[in-house]
Amino acid sequence: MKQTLMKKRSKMSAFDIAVYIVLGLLSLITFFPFYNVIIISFAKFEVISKFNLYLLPLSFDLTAYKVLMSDAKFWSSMFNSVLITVFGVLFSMTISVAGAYALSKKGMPGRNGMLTLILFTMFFNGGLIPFYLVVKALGLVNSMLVMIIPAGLSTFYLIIMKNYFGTLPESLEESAKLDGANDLYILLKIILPISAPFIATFGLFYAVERWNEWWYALIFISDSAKTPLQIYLRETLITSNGLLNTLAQQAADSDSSKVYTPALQMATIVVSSVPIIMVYPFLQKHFAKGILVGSIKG
Amino acid sequence: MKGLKKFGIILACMTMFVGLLAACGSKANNEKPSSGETPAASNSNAAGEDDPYKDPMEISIAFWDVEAEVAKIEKDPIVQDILKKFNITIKPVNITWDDYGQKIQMWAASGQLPDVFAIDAIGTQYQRKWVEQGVVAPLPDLAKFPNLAKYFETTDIAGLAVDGKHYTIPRRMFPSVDWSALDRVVYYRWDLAQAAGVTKEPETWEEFEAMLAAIVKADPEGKKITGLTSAQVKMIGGLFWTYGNPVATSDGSGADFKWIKEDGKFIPAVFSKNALPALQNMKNMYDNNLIDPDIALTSPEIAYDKFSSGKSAAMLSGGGFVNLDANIYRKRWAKSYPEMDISDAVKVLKPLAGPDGVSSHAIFKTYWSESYFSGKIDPKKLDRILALYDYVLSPEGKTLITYGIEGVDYKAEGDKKIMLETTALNEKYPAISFIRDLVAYETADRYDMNNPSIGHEGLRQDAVDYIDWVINNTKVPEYDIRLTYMSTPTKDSFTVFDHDDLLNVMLSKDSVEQSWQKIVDGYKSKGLDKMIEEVNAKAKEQGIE
Amino acid sequence: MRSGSSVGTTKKLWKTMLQYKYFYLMVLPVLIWYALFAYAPMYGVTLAFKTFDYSGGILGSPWIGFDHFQKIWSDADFHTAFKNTIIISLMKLLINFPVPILLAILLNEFSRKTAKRFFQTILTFPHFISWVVLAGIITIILSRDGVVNQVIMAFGFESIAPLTDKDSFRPLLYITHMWREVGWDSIIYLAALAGINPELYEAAEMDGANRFKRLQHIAWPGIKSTVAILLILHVGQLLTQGASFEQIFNLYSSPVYAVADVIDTYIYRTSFQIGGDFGYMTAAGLIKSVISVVLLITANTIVKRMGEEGLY
Repeated sequence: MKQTLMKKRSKMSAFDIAVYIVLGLLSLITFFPFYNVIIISFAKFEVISKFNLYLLPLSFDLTAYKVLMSDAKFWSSMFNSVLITVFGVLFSMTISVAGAYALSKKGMPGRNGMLTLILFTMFFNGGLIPFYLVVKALGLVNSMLVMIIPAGLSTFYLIIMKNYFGTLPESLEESAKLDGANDLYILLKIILPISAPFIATFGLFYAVERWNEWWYALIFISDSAKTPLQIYLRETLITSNGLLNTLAQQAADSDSSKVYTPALQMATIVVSSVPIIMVYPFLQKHFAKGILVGSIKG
Repeated sequence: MKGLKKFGIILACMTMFVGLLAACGSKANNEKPSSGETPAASNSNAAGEDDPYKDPMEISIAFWDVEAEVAKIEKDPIVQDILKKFNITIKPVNITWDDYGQKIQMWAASGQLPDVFAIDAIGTQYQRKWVEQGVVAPLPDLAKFPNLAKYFETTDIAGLAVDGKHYTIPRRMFPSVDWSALDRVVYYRWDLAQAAGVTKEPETWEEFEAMLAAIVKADPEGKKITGLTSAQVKMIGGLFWTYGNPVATSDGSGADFKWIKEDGKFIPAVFSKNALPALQNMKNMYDNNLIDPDIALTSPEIAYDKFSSGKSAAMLSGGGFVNLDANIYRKRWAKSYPEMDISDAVKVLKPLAGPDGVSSHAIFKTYWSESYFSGKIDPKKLDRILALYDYVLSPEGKTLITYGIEGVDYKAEGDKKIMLETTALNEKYPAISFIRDLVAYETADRYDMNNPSIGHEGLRQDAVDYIDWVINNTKVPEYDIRLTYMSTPTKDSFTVFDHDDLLNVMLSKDSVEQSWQKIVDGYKSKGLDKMIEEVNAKAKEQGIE
Repeated sequence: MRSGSSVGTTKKLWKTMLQYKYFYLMVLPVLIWYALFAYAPMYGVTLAFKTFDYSGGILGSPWIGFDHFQKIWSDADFHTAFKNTIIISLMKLLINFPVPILLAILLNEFSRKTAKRFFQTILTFPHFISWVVLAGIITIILSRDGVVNQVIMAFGFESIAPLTDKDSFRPLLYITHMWREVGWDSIIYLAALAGINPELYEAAEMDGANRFKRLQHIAWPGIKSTVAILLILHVGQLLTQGASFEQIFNLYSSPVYAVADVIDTYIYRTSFQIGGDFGYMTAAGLIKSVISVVLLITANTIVKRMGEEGLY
């Protein structure tokens, strides 16, 4: 079956149909658990205690959401995560891009030594206690900065970025130099704009990491005013603590005691995913386009 | 290029060196406070005859969810008064059930423990190190704190002293080991049992299993009900070992296993020959669908939900009747069964009679978790906080915390106290349970018809009757607690997580003998036999028979 | 830059360094970061040869030489963890490594643009959700009251509990890993495929090559080097990231330790829940690091021998 070379609105080939089916099924399976989460979040205690949950929503009850949204701690941890993500990405991207660009310059004296030292750290580290001591010496223990700075650099991304910068043609820089530009200017006014999709991608990579951050918070953060969203989620989902415990102290006839535990847990998941859902398709435009991850030639 | 490479390496070494210096800095911090502290202490004692609590003190405390608890003090006049009396401000250092282990370990290792912290560490190898290496402070002479001194007279608490000094204040729950029956109770739906044709409340394992089977089969409410679930996985040993091997019950910490004498030598009860029948019984129950298939993943809130909504016929829980009242009755029962009186529908399983005809229950230490004081604490602060502890343990303090303010919340009539306040005391004074739990749980006090803690009166009566029955009809078997506290090289790092093993046996496709043999072999490869030798040798030395 | 006289070299060196002054400025923050957070703590590695003493800190702890390593050698739990790490990582490599490549090729060949974007969006979505949340979702779905069991029981079968079953836990790990990562991992390959010159395709079609031949001769060579590098990185991380601490930590429970406990979870549990000697944990971590380096170098060498460009 010949297809036209211009991939315009040609008729669907058998291949296309097959792909539709395969991807369609995959997408359904991928998405189904989230659908389930949504249904459960709308479940009512009375209903659940009588019937089991099937594939269709049985009730449309917003109690879980009401309870969740009235928890100040939920909002503060969400806010913290937003702060950490925004500033985290700014920090990480600034030093990563600058560093990767510099490291891509083969002619820079000492470059190979630096790269070796950096790669070495991918495998060897001194362990948690000395790391803790360093963080403590810097005064970062129990500070939100601990989730931005020490957590904020990925050797993996750094290497890939460096490789990418290495694939850019030298002519770009040479012509700029002829016009009298210095290296900083070149980086900011020439390299960055050209690499926009690429930068966007890694910005997204880092953003995901910061948003999902919980390990550093677990070890270093005690003040509940500074905990990020993922810790809040952990408490709700895994230890059945946090909000549920506070609810335990409240009057028996208030809204809070009417909530069905899994419904509350699922509502928490739904609400905390909203920021991602909003931001994601928007960014997808950028990175799905030509990411020249000729990363690999290097 | 070569020169630069060398330069780079030198630079790296220099930063490592700087890191070392930083570590040295904190090492200096780890050392005990200098003697400059003591003169001040004696000064305040001399001047303070009229008011020993003249100097305000801020004391940092790490306790579960302490931040939230301290926030409640604002609304609690009783706790405010107590703190004012001792001129203490609490600085909360928050820990949660999820992260307290990690946080406290990190703080201990980096020398930044708060003044007071809570953790369940008795018997673990790291706690021994803490004591030996000065991580935690010894308590001073307790002559000034009579209530505290009396508190330490209970045998199993007294046994915690190291070289005559106490390094921790355990949180007592019960006055004697009989009461630990309350820490592993099974709530069950008597109404459903009756609907399924059961006429007698179960008193033996056979009757219990028959009842569960009847309920699951009849499924009176049509919810596809499952059998026994549990609030926490680590509790299951507390029930299943009572089938003929109750001394094997442990609280899940791994380090509190008890010893019995079998065939002339001491062995951990978990490895007794009575273990196999108990395991077989458990596995039969599981294979016959009498146990919740999701039991390995259970958590308290989920289990309470399941039981209260009729999805589980029975649930194993801690906290006895106090918990039944708080988590099942007050929080959930009215939603699912508004018409039914809980004390008619829900009963608590009496300790069952095993193959030897003897009724047994779980056996634990009379306390759970402890207060520790940082090795670097200012001795003045230590004195102050101990004064607070002493007060909470005193009869006056206890009355205040249990009944509230005289004339306002209750009135005294001779020996009895009549509650005037109808709402639960916890709601009027939201921080009193915290201040009480900080020191000791003293759960036993609540099993009293005059004590308002158990809100539902029917349940309160059931509770009192229950503990009376247990004390009169069951006997705690012989074992020597000194063997549990004993320290020998292999024993110090030996842990037995019996709930992991029980789950293994329960869920395995192998026969009970096979799985158990594998498990025992695993322990042997970790030094079980050596530990037994060492303990028996030391026992002989110390004259323990 | 090699040259004969040393004086001449130093001067030249200095001159070059000045040339690159802005670049040094750019790389400085990164270097400081590594100095502070990777190298300063490096002395902690010595703890592997000491037993931790609280009063002395790491520096003041007494040396005990290779004692920890000897203990590890005879520690059955460590062996289990090690074995599991290798098995799980390898299986993930086997199962989860090729699939994103196939998916990328599939998507690339797919001509309906909007549909392609739609599918991509959905398939990539799970990656953004942390394992904390995904574990919560998975637990509920697989619980006895969850959807999966509802359907199973509706058909008359017995309910299942794969999360606590030793035989099904590992497959569950692979499947859920796939669920979360296949879309995301395919992005890199898609990008590489997008970078292939379309004229090559046109030329091949004109020569009469069918889809399969086009894949073989154009697509595959285009992404071969990407695959090679990622393969090397994965192998190098077999002991570290390969077994995904986050996934296992949030999904496992004691009934499945025997098949799912990996080195990282073992270290975590022993450090924080049992409170073992930190020196012992450091030793375990050190073993992991050394082996990882060996793996990386081996993989890199093999790939280079096969004609591809390696990592370095």
